[in-house]
Amino acid sequence: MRVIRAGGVGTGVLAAAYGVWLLLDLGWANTRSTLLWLVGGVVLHDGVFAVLVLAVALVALRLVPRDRLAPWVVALVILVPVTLAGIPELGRFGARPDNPTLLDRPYWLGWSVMVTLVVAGVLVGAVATRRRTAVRGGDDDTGAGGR
Amino acid sequence: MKLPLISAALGSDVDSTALDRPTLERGPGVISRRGLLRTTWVATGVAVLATAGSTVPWLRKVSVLGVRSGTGPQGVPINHSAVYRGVVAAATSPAYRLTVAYGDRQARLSLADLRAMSLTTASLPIACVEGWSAGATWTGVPVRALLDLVGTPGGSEVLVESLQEHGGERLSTLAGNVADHPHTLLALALDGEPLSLDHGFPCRLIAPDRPGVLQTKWVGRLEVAT
Repeated sequence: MRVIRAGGVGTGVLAAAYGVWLLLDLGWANTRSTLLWLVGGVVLHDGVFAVLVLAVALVALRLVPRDRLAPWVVALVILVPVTLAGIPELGRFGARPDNPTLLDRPYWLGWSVMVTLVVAGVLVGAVATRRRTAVRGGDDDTGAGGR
Repeated sequence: MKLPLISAALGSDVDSTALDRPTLERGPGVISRRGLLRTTWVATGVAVLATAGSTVPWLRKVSVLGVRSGTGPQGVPINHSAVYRGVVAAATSPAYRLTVAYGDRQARLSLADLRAMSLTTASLPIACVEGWSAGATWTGVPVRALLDLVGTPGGSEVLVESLQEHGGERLSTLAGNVADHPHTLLALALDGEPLSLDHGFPCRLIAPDRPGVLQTKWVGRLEVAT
């Protein structure tokens, strides 16, 4: 076991060193941008986004009964990532007046339609699950899946 | 090493709590693990549908967050406009001439001269490294016919130079066999209409099997070294 562990550590250190060496080869400006990108992502995710999610969860747990939260979680897990990914389009960053073929959609309208469809789907799923568990007479098995 | 534990956990039911850490709080979550997993699949699907249409044409209608709808003037999107590249004056000037050079032999052709030549029509895709692609019908003068005007031997490598003064796509090189291909055109028209300014008016290169960034727009000069 000790040999396997040492092998794993050794391989990892070697691979990391090779990566650092390749990175330094790109020149300082690129290295700095890469580090900024890597560290920035972690800081934004763990330092900002995770804290926000926990805060929202804390508030939601106080406002909504625990067994009614599943549809909200499903809707947010679907909608938040795609909305974050859509920030460049929704904010029209990089749009140019001389190039109408770029960012040429009604993004807020499309986003609203998408949100409406997802929320409607989640509601239908929630009602269906509730009916099913009511018919069975059993407890809600928190099966929010499949929605 | 946690490999045996990882392997056991991956092999057991996703909702099983047998391998949980003892310190983990028990009790049903707001959503089951299986439910959360399924939700992430749906989330991935929604994100793909919402954005992939910029690259996958049949998804265009549903990709509400796609960076391009995939159309543009004459049905083809544009990366860099004539305004952006600062070529409007040079490209629309009546004094425009295309220079074809082979050593000290030179031909200078006006747009009317080009239009009077024998034209070829070819259906060729334009595929951009930014991710979009579009098929179109191009009409123009085969590059080979232009090279013949100055007696360039077959198989010559051609340097294509744009009127634009800056930008990575200002210059491109046509390998000899590509330059001689009958579908390698200096296009004057797109889908039967004169090229729009943003598509490279008065003429642009369009050749088979080339990334869009090498299909030089606003061509001002074709040169073959002796």
